[in-house]
Amino acid sequence: MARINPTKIFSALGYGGFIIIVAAAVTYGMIPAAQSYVWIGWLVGLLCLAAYAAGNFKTIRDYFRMRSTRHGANAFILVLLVLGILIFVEAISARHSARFDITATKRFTLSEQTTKILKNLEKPVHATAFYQEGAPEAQRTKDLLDQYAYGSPEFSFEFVDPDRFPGKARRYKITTYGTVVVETGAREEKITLADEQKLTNALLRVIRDEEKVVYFVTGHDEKSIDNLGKDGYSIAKEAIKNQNYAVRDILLMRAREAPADASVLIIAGPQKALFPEEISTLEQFVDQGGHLLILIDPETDTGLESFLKSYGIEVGQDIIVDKLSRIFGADYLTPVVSQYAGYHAITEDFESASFFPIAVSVSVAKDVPSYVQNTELAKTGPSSWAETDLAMLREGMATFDKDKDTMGPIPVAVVSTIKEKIEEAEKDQTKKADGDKPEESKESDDREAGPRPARIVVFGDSDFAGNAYLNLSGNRDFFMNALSWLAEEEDLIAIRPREEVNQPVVLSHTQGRILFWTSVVLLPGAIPLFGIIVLRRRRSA
Amino acid sequence: MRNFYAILRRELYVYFCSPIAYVVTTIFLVLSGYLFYSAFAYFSMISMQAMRMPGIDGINVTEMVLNPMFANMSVIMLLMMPLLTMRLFAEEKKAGTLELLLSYPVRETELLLGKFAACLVVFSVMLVLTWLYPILLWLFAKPDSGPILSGYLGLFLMGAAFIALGLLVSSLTENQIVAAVISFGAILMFWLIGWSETFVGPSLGKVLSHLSLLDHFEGFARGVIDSRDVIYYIDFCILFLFMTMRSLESKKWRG
Repeated sequence: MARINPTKIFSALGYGGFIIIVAAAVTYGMIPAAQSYVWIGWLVGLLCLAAYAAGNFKTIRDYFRMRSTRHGANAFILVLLVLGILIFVEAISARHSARFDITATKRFTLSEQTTKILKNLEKPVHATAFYQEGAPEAQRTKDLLDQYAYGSPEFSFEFVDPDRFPGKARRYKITTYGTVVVETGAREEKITLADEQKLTNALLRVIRDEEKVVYFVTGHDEKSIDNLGKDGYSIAKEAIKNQNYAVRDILLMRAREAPADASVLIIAGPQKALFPEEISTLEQFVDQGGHLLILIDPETDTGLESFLKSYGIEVGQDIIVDKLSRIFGADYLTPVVSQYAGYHAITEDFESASFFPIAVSVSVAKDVPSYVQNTELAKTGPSSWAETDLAMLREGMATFDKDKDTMGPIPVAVVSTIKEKIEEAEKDQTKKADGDKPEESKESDDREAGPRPARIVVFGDSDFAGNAYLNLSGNRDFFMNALSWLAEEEDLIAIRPREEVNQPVVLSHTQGRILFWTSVVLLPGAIPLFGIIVLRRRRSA
Repeated sequence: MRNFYAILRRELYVYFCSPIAYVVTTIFLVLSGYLFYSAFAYFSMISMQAMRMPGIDGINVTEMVLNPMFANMSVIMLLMMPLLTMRLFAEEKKAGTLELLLSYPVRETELLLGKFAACLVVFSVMLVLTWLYPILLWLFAKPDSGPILSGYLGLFLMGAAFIALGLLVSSLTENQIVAAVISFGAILMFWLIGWSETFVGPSLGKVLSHLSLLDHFEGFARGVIDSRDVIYYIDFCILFLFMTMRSLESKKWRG
């Protein structure tokens, strides 16, 4: 009579249950979608195990009564307990940590300004850095972001490979590798080639509460931001909007005074003269530290000439002619602008040429008031000149007349900073490397007190930022740089880049040999010698 | 406490009277010495090019010789440490001296810490010998002393973590080779775990990179001492030493 041994069934059930559970777990790992099957598998496996346990109840009970099992379980629980405590310690240490930068140049420490801003951060800010996986320059950015995250619990960041997550890249409209998007719930800022200054300023821009507005003055046939045609400014409007500014029209005659929330007031190519009341409104605006962007076309009477003259900006009565370096296929009234003031924030590191179709010269006047600081931002090429005989020009007979015309390079854009107080004169200049700490604190004090210095930028052309030309060569960057600089609040700051220690060392032949022999031969060779001596003496002892 | 010193002395004696410590130290120094030399020679070549082409920034020994030196040393350590720790308990178990030791009035803690300290001493000697490289750097260039200090601190802490892990593995087996291979694999696992950060979710990735022995070393090599990194290595040591304790105690009741 062959009876099946029940214990065998039970142990088979036990093994089966175990295998089913493992298989279910593996399935879950490989195909998360098959969740319902996995649950069924787990249930069946558990039932089998329960059956096995019921069948072998006695054996199991005896096993648990053994001393070693108890000890083993004890040890296991103790290890878990210690692990739990350590995880807790780690969690606390991750929240509250101290960091000491002991490099000589403090390379891994953010400036005081940034630290202060991070300390006062009240809402979560998230940075997303778009780099290719394993890009070498990503490390730098990661170091930087790490320091920001260390500075505030509200600051978090992640790295995304735009090739692997094109959806994300598209959502943020990422066009180049190395873009960092800084965002709060409401705003986002994009920067490329992140350094501390750019990151901090982006951070400031996204945590700003009030919306900043860029106003376009209307009422004198200016270029319209709603005009989608080639003379319109609709593309410029979009570009400004992407920088987190609201763009609005304003009719100065009706407004009586410039709006209080105006970051920048733009007068883009007026064809009719502004009224004296409007001019005085502008004067008031500048006196209160307003920021103006004026684009003037040649052969127009804008009524702004004397107003600008009072700040030492001279708008010429001419048209710039350039017979040599002009756009291929365009006439000689589209001069190429390729010389930029390298020491001004707007045109710093600026290299691409820009084109100004039909431009008038704008230069720094001979007598500039003491409280004004003017810089000629950009000049046309040396082969250009400012033609004053406009009647001849209209007949297509432009010749250089050295008595009346000025030979190039001709300035086409001037920036002026108007200060209330003389002691603020150094404020906008980039500081030299000496005495950084007290100066930095002084600067931040300045920013908290007193009116901001007024700023005016005048271009001798309005077409270059119009829809037809804005995306040509360096035009967009030039226009947007000027606008950003004007729109900057006093909270946007200049941070001196960390100086990299440059210290090339060229080894002489002898030094190289010394290096090789000591570190590769002598030192490692001494160890076995020493060992042999020790072991020998021990043997002979 | 007296027992601790006795154990420490005994262990050091064993270390210095067997060839293994000498072999490990020699190989360690040959490799790190050669890598240091080639980094410095390469830097010298780059310097030459940089002098011909001005405008290149960041040419300095701190970043181009020191940082790679510490990174290299940490990798060679990973290869060498299991060979130092493999014998600590496995040898005793094989020879049957562990039961003898445990039957003495010596507390497991003293035994464990004595062995741990002995191995740390040997490791420290290895590190001290590598001070030759910064000294050579001082002779020929002007390195930043901050990263040198923090780099050695980091190496020491990381080495201690390796030793704690190796101790546990050595207490689980009688075979030294098995102990070395398992320690090596485990250290490597803990080392590389942060790499998976890129293909798991961001939150799990953060946890994994936090567990990585390598990610915590990066700051030290550059001259930044972060309390989080120091605490992580210390916690790591505590956990593994505690587990080793349990594993030793189990010998008692397993009989």
